[in-house]
Amino acid sequence: MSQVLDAYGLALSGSRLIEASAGTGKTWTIASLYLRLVLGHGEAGEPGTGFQKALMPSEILVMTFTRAATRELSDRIRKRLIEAEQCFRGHSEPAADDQFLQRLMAFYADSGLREHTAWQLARAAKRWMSARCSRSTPGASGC
Amino acid sequence: MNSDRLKPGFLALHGNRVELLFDTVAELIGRYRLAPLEPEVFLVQSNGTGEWLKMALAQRSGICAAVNLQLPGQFQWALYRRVLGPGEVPERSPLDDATLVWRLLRLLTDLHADPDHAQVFAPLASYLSGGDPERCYQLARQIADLYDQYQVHRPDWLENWADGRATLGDASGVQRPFPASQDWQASLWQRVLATLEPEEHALIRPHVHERVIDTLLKSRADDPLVARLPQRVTVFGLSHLAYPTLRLLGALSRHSQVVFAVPNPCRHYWADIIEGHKLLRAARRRHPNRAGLDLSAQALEQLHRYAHPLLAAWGRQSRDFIRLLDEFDDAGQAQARFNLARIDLFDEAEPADGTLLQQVQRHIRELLPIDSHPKQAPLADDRSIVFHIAHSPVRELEVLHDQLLDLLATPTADRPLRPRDVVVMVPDINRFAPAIRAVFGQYADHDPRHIPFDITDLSARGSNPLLAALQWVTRLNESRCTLSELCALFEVPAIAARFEVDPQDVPRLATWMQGAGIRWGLNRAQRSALGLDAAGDMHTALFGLNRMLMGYAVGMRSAGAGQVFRDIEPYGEIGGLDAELVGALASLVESLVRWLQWGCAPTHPAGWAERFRALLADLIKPTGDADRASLDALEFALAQWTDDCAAAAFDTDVPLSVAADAWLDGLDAPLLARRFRGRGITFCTLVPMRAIPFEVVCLLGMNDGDYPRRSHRPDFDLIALPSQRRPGDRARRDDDRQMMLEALLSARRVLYVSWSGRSVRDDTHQPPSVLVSQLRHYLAAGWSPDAVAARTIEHPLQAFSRRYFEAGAPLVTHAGEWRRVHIPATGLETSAHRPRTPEDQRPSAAKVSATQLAKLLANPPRAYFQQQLGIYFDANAQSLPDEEPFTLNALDTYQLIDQVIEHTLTPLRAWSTDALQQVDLSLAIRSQIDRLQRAGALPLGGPGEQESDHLQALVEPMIAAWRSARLSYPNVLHPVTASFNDRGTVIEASLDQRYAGHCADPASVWIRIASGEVLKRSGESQVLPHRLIEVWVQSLLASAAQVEGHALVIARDATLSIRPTDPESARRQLLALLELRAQALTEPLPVAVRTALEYVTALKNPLDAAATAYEGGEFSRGEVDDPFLARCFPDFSSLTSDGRFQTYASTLYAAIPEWIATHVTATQHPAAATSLDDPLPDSGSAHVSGAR
Repeated sequence: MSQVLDAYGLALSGSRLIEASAGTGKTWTIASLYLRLVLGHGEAGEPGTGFQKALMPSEILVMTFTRAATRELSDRIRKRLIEAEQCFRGHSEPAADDQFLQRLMAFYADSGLREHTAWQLARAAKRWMSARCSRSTPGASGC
Repeated sequence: MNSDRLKPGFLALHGNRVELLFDTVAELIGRYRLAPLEPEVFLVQSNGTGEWLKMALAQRSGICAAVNLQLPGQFQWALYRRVLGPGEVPERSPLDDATLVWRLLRLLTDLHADPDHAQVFAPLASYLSGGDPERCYQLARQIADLYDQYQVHRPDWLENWADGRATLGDASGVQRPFPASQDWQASLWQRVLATLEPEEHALIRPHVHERVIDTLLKSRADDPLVARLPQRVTVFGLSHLAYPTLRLLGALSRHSQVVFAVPNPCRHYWADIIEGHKLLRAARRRHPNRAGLDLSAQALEQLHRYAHPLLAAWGRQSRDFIRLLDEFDDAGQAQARFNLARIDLFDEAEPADGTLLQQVQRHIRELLPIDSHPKQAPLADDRSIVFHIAHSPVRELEVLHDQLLDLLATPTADRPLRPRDVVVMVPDINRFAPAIRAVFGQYADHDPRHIPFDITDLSARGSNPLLAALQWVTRLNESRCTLSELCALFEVPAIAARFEVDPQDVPRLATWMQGAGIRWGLNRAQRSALGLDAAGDMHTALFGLNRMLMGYAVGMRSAGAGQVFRDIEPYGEIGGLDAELVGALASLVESLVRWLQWGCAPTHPAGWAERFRALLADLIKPTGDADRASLDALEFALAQWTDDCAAAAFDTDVPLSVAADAWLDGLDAPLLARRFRGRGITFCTLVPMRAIPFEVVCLLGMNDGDYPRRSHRPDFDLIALPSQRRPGDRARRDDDRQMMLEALLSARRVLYVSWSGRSVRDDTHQPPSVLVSQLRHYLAAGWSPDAVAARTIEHPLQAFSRRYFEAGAPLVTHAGEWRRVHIPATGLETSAHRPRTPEDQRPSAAKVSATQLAKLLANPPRAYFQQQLGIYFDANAQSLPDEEPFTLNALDTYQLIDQVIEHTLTPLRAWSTDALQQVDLSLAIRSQIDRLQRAGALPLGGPGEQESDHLQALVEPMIAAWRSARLSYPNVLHPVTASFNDRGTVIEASLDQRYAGHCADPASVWIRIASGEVLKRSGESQVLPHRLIEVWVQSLLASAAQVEGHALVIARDATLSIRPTDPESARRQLLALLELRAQALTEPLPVAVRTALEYVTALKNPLDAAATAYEGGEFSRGEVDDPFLARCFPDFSSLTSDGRFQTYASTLYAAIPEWIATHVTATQHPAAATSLDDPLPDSGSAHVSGAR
């Protein structure tokens, strides 16, 4: 059964397949989901949609084809983490069309909560595991 | 005596610069003098720091003597022996890393024999199920490394496991169970212990360690053992040391001076800014809190307000070390005891307007949070931190070379920069080394752009051809042993010397080896061992060698004479004094075969040592000191390995692969004796704890994924479990971050960072290392984004890019050679570049053969490139073929037909007509084709038979045609030389193979054989004009010189009979040809022969037809495929742009079809087999250029 994708509300459990054409924002979505994983977002808002705990980059495997694509994906996700961190710290505002980040900001509205969130994001960016590439060993490549 | 000992104590000096630390250490050395002849002990982690230290000592006191530099690990074991006595402690631990491997290997091979523990060892057994000994050895090495780490970092675990408690105690002492399916580690450790003799149990590292600490703590100052201890130990420049080692040094400080010189990036107490500080429980804190604020009370979320972001991101390892040290360090007491004015050696705050680099270093030192950064742009001309983005390592180095030249030439207020003030660090020097040599080595000493350089940290095996060759030989039983690999052996000087081959002769030998048909394999037996018995011995080294020796013995055997000895077809090129080269090859092959015979079977380590020594003696004769050093290192590694095995009582048989790995792996052990810094700039790998100051620090190859480097820790490493973290543990990731911090702090003037930020293939953006991104982000946040952008330079893909030479461009290069490329055309007309005129050319080449002239006509631009410029576009000429022929292409067939006809006809030419009539031509041809087959020129097996039948079918009608011509003209005439002279330029053609008819009919002919086809396939006996150019020139010459007779051209598909031309018109045409030649040698003429002929023979739309002929059509390749034409005239419009093409075509080349129409009669061969080959790609001149 297929459903319209909502990066903010997608349940982060089991296996999920996202199908979309080129240029429709698959990478953007993965980066957003990554953000939620790092924050452990979900279980407080809508029970059952989140992961049981906030994860560190070393606990998340993202895989794609080719070294170039891995690097790009890795770079995009890390930039997204930093962008979100800046917003939560109040150094910048989310882009006008960035519904996801706006909703996330609204969810963590309390200033103490925001500080905690920003710290989680910064920690993830700081401990970033970089893109690595290994040929045809399943499970060993990713970022 | 004890009263003479120096006052003992523990002293930790902290400083943000190594120079400051050194000054105080030197002051201490001067104040508390050691006894005469007692060496000063320094513990350092790398050769770089050691060397810097020695230089600094020498500079300070004029000499550096009696200094004993040691690695901490070495020192530790030596100290055990001093404390407990050499009788008590052996030279090495019974369970050190190297011996452990062999104990484990024995255990792992026997693992399956133990049904009781099948459950526990299931994970290992499933990994080893294939029974591959190499796999087993690799696993043993991994586990040995791991147990070695446990012995250093987790002795308590091993203690528990030995007692049968399979638990893991964490940092707070809580015992936890093993993670799933890892409990084999405890069981295996118990078995390792069981292999020890009872008395050896006390000698494993953790036990000895505790005993030594105990003894040191209990012994009193007058104890005799104290006299054996070094009076002072200085730990210099380390930013990491295992906690047990710290405890040992702490205990030692009761009797000796133990001085730590600690590089500490920050003057304040900064341990709390990084997570994990709760694990560090030392009560004492050496440094004051910044602004009196205790950060340990702050929530983690708040810390970024008080911490420096880079220190927080990169400083974990350094933080752990400094905090661990605090436990042993009573600073106040130490300061008083050693009577030092200062033990915290930090630069005082300088004014805020230093360079950007200095500001960054100061902010780290002062623990300035990002909110307090100035947020203003640094000076515009401040280049103290720069980022360069290129496309590849080679380009990064080219850019670096240019930038360094700039830096070295820039006048400065203080001391001018010297090359040795520059260090270039890369993630992996072995990958960069060839590019470094290519870029920095391209300028000779006298070139003003020459920068001296040294490359260190190279792995012996990766950089030493002798070792690479040896490694190849030890893999011989698994190798295909190709021609190129064999030839490469002779290029190693020590091997060439052993077989007495002069390096100059190696290319000739390689040509012979190729010619004799060597492609792969040593001999049939070696192929069988690879499971390739079906390939026989054709194309093996032995096969080629036999051919060469046979050729030397009997010479080029004339066709069909006698029996073939053992099917060996002699290779006739060998002769004269150089023939002894073949002897060298024979000895080499013999040595290799011998090695294969006794080097393949598994044997025990002592047996291997014997074999390896014999192998070295067999293959290598040192040619210089470098070779001798390599041999010494090899011998040392071999002895080391056999010692290891003996210590582990390992005498099981191991296969060659394991033995060779174990031997050669010993070559890459780190040594403090390696030279680090030379007179030039230093290229090295990023190695931890080598933070010695350099004026310019360059980091290259900082690509995402390349740095931080990938950790090679196995996933069963229990130390790496998150729940088992203890302060002082090392992680590759933390190492690389620490190194980045050290690099940033050890630069004095410039920090230069570069990476391949653009894909060399498609120019897409490639992110830099995460650490570089963090640095850039920090600079953007702390100063301004524009400041980062202004310090980032993107370079073009090529060093010769126009962008370097445009006025006002920000890019500069010192590679001035490229400048000329971009000067507008008028600038080219300097005397050196003036185009040559026909007048320059004419006198210099006085003699031209008809063949040369025909070649020139067939492709004037090629003649210009090859004869005038000496340029040959021949892509594959250099590489040696490593594979036997599988099919024959058109060119191969052409050449083989040539050979078969030549060899068949050579004896027949002299025969009488009667004898000719008798001879069985098929048989004569077949015997020649058989020779080719024996020589390996045809594919093996069935395809080879097919090809030889095909050849036979092609050649037979030609030879038959030749015979019938000979029978019609039975009398042999002398050859004559036809020549034509125009104002000193002479064209010559030697007309041999002339025959006359019977006395009654004195007409004569000269015969030519053309291995290609001369008729159009579809047309009715329509002759292809471009195949007849050489014959045309010859015919013109013969006619002009009034040599009598017709010409007969016997081609693959027809015989052509050619009437002589009228002498006057022949001379006229030859003059025109010489005119064309003179032109063609001054510039690439816009002429392409097939296109020109198409242009003049097309029935309608000649330009369209010519364009198709040149550029190719739907089903045909165009003439522009020729590389010379493509280089000058990429398409038809460029060929015809100045109209000369049409002129040459209609005046000169039009003469060929006209001549064919009036002078040439074609007769197809009666049984002409339809050729299956593609038409030849080139013109009819006898030589076909060799692009396959």
